[in-house]
Amino acid sequence: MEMNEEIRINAPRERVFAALNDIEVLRQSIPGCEKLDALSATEYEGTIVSKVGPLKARFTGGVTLSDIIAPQSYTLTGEGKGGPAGHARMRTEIILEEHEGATLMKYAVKAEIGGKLAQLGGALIDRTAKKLAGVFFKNFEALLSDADQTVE
Amino acid sequence: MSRTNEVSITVNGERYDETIPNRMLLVDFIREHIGLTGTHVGCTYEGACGACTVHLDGAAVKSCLMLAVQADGHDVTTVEGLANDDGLSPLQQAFNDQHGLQCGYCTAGILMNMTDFLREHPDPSEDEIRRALIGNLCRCTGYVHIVRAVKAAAAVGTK
Amino acid sequence: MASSEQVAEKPWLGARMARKEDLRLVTGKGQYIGDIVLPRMAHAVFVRSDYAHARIRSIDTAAALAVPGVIAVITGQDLVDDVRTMPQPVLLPNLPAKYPTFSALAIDKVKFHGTPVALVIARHKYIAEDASELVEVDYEELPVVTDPEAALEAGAPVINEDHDDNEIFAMTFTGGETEQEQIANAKAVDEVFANADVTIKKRFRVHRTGLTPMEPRGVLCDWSEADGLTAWITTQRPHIDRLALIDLLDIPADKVRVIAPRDQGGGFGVKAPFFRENVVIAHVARKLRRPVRWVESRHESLMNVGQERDQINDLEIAASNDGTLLAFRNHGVADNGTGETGVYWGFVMPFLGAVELPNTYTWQKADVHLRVAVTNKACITPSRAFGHFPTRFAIERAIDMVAHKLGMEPAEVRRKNLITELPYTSVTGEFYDSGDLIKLWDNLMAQVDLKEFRTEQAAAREEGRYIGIGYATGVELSGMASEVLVPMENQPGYGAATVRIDPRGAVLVFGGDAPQGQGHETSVSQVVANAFGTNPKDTVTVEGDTGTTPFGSGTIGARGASYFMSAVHNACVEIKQKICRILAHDFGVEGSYEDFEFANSEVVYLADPSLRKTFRQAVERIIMHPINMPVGEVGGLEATVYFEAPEQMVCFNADLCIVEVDINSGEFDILKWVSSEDVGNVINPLIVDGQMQGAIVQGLSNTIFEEFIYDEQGQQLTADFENYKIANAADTPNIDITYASTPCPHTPLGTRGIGEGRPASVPGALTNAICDALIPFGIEITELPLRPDTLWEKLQAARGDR
Repeated sequence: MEMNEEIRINAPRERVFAALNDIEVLRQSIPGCEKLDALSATEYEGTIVSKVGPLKARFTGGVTLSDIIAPQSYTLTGEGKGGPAGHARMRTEIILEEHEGATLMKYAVKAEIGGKLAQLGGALIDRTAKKLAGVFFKNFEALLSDADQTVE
Repeated sequence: MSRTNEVSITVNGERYDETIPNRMLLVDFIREHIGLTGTHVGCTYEGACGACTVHLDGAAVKSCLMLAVQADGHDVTTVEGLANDDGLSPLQQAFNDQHGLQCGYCTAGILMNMTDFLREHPDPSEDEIRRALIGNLCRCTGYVHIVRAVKAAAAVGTK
Repeated sequence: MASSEQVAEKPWLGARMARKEDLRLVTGKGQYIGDIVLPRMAHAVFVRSDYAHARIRSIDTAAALAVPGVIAVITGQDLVDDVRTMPQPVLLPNLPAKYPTFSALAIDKVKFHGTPVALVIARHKYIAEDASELVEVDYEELPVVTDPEAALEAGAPVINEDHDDNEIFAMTFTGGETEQEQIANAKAVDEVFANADVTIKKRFRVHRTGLTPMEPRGVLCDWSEADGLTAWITTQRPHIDRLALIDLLDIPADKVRVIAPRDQGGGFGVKAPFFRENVVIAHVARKLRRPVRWVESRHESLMNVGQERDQINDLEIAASNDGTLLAFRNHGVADNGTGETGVYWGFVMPFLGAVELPNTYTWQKADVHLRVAVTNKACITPSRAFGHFPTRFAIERAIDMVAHKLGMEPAEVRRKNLITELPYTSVTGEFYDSGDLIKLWDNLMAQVDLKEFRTEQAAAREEGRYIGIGYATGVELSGMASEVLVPMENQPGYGAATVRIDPRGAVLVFGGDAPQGQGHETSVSQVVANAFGTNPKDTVTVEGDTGTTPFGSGTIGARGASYFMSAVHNACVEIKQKICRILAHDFGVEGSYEDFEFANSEVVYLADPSLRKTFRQAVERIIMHPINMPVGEVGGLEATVYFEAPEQMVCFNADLCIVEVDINSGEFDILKWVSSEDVGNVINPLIVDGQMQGAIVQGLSNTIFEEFIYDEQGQQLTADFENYKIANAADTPNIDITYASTPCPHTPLGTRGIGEGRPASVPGALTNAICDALIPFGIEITELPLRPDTLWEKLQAARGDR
C-alpha cells in the first residue's frame, strides 16, 4: 500500500515539528491509541485498536524515528502485529514546508500488510488508511490550536 | 459459549422452540442445530456463492448472511421442503430432466432462488434467468443446463 | 420390484437418460463430508501462517487451550514421534525431482502464506475458530521469493532447505535419452528454423488460476481399538489415501479404511492429491480416541488448493509459406509453489503440459525444455486441463500468429497440419491411439459459414464494429494406461469393478474410484442395463469405500468411461457367461455365451426362443438354488474385473467462437461458442454435454476472471469469492456441443474417457477470436488473464501508433 498526501496545518513549522515529537500529542492524536511509551528519544512502542472493514484488531508494535533534520523532515519506520488480523510494516517520510505562516506537511507512506488484513482488498485498505490519517491530523490540528489558545 | 436466546422458528412447517447462541448463523441453525443438511455453505459466509439460499416467509435469502435469532417468529423453507406428497416440484423435476446439476452442491441454493424467481417472473427470458442467477455460483455445469431447466420449469408452470 | 418387471427394450447405451443421482440431490438428501456427524465428534480448525516465508521461533498455545470447550491444541512438534514426514514412497511419482521433506504441520519454518502450523480441536466449531485466533506464533521473517524466474537465479533464497536450489524439476523432452542425442536434436531443430520461410517467437504467460470446487475439502476421522482408523475424506482417490495413511501413521493395513463420501461437491483434480491435513486429522482422532472433523473454509481453500496454470512459455515456431508447420522450440518456466503436496508435488502438471505441446498437429521436430521453480506460494494442485492450459494457449495462439504472418486463414493452417494417420506418436512421445481429426475439424467448420462470416466481418468493420472468429483444437488423455501412470504417478492405470447380482435381480456395482459429480451411478446403470438387458433403475453403484471396493487409482484423468466403465462391462460379461453355461445345462442344450440373448429382462436361447427365463429367475436359480449344477460350476453371481487397455487412449476436441469487441472500452461479447467432440461411443450424451459445457465455462472463467494474486511479500490477496471472481451465469454464453465421434477400438464398448483436459482449448479459441476481430489494430494477445482493461490499454497503444 502506498499513500502520498499533503496537508496544511495552521501552525508554524517549528511548532508542528515539536508536536510531532511530543509523545503526549501523538498519544492523543493517533486514532485508537491505547498506549504509547517512549523507549528513547527516537523509539516508541504502543498499542492501537483499529478497525479495517470487518476486522477489528489490537496492534502492538513500535516505531523508530530516523533521518531527523529538524524542523524539516524525518522518517518513521515501524511495524505492528495484530494477532489473527495480520501484521503491517510501514515506512513514512515526512517533509514539513513553511507555507504562508502555516506548515505544509507532505507525507509518503509505504506499507506492507500481511495476514487477513491484506486479503480485505487494496481498496478497503487504502480507504481506511486515508481515513485514519485524516482523523489523526484532525486531532493533531485541534491539539495544536488548543495549545495556541493556552499560550496566548 | 456466548449469550443465548430463545427462538421459535418454523422450518418446513415444523416449529422449533430452541435456545441458541445469539451468534449462531441461520445456516448453522438449519444444518447443525436441527440437522437439515441439504442447505450448503460454499463461501466464507460472505453471501457470494448462494449455496445456502433458503426461503424466509417465502422470499429467497442467503442463510449465511443472517443470524438465527433474526428468523425468530418466521417461517423458513429449505430444499427439503420443496417436494410434496405429489413428488418433486416442477423445478426439481426440470433440473433432473435437463441435467441441471452435476455435483449437486450448489443445487439447493439455486432451486430455492429460482423457485422464488419463477413466482415473480413466471415467463422469464434466458437473459432474465441468467441475471437472476448471478448470486448462485456453480462450478460444474457452465450454467447452460441450469438455464434450460429453469426455462423448462417455467414452461410447465405457465401451461 | 427389481428386474422381474418387464421393460420395453431400450438401447441404454447412448440414451439421454436423466440421472439417478439427482433424486437425492434435488431434495437435499445428498451426503457430503459436512453432513456426516458422529457421536462425540470434535471440530478442528487449522492455524495457518500469515507469513509466506519465516522461521517459527515459538508457538504459544496456552491461551487457546484455556478456552472452555477446547479439547486439544497440537503443533508440529506433537507429530514428531507419531507421524512420519512426507514424502513416503506411495506419494512419489517415478520422476527425478528434488522432493521436499516436510512435516504435516510445519515445525521449523513456513513456506507459504497459509502453511498449517497448529490445529485446535474443540467441542464446537465456533469455539475452535475463536480459540484458533489465540494461538500465538512468533515468526522470524525470511526473504520471500514469488517470481519463478527469480527463484531459479543463482543466489536466490533457497526455500526447500534440504536441497541446494529452487529448481524442483527440469527436463528436456525430445531428442532421445542421452545428452548427445539431445544435442543432435537441438541442432536439427536449429536447421529447420534456419531454413524455414517463416518463424515466430513469443513469450506466453498464463497466470495462476485453477479449479475451485463449490465444496471445499474436509476430513472426518474416527478411531477404535478394534477397527483402527476410519477416515472420510473428500478425495478423488480413496485407495491411494488409504495407503498413504497406513505408511504415514504406521498403522497395520487391516486397521485403515478410507471412505470418500457418496456425494462430493466437485473435484476437478483439486481433490486428487494426498493432503497434509488428512494425516493431521487422522493422527488427532487416534490420539484423542474420538471422532474429529475438519471442514475447510472457502478462505482456507482459496489459499491452499486449486491453484494451477502459472507458466511462462517462450515458444518459437517454424513454418513454410504454404502454412505447413515444421518445428517448434519451447522453453518453459513453471511456478511450482512450495512443492509440499503428495502425489503431484506441483511439477507433475507442467511436466504433462510440456509433453502435450504438439497438440493435434504434425511436426517434424521439436525441442522442449522445462524448468520448474519452487516459490513461496501454495503448491500448485491439479486442476482440470492438468498442466496444459498454458501450453495449449501458447501453441494455439502461435498458430494464429503464423497464419496472420502468412496471410492465411487460421482455419486452413490448422486443417492442413492436423494429424491424419493414427495411431500416432507425437514429437514429445505422446501416443494417440485412434480418432479422426479431419472429421472432427470438418464438423466444427460445418457449424459456421466462414466465407459469409468474413463478408459480415468486413461490413461490420465499415460500421466500426469488430467481430472475430477463433479456433483451437485439443487432445486429452482418456485415462492413463499403467504403462503411463506407473512411471508418472507410481500408480496403476487399470479400471476396477466388482459386479454382484442380488437374488431378486438387482445389480450391485462396486468401483474403486470416487466421483464428484460425474454421474457414475447413471452411466454404470446404463452399461449394466446394456449388458443384462435389464432396466437401469435396477442397478446400485457403490464407490469410494476402500472397505468394500476393489483397488482403483481414483476418479482422475478421464478414467471413467475409458477404464471404469470397461471394467464394469467386462465383469457383466463374465457373469453372463456363467449364466449361459448354467442355463444351457438346465435347458439341456449345447450352448454358450453367444447362443443366448439378454433382453427385456429375459435370457433367451436364440436357437429355440421357447427356452427362456426371466433374468430374475435365472439369477435366483444360480444364487439361491445351486443344486443340479454343471460339472465344475458353483453357485453365486459375482465378478471382479480389472481392465487394462492395450493402448494409451485419447480423445479429441475443437472449439470455435465468435466474439465482438468494443474497441472503445475493451469489453467483448461471446456471440457464439460451438464445439466438436471426438469422444468415442457415448454412454449418456446428456452427461457428456454437461461435462463439456462445464469444462468450457471453467476455461472461460480461468481465462477472463479468475486470478490468484500474491504480493511481493507472498501475501495471498485473493482468498474469498469477492477477490477471486469465478464466472456466474450472466458472465457466460450458451455453449453448443456437437459430436464427430470415432468409436474407440480398445474398449469393449468403444467408449473413451472424456472431460478432464477439456478446458485447455478455451483460452486459445477465445483469444484467437479477439485477435481476429482486432486484426486492423495488429493486436496479438500473449498473456492471460484477458481482461477488458488490458485489452483497452492495448487498443489505446495500437490506435496511438496508427
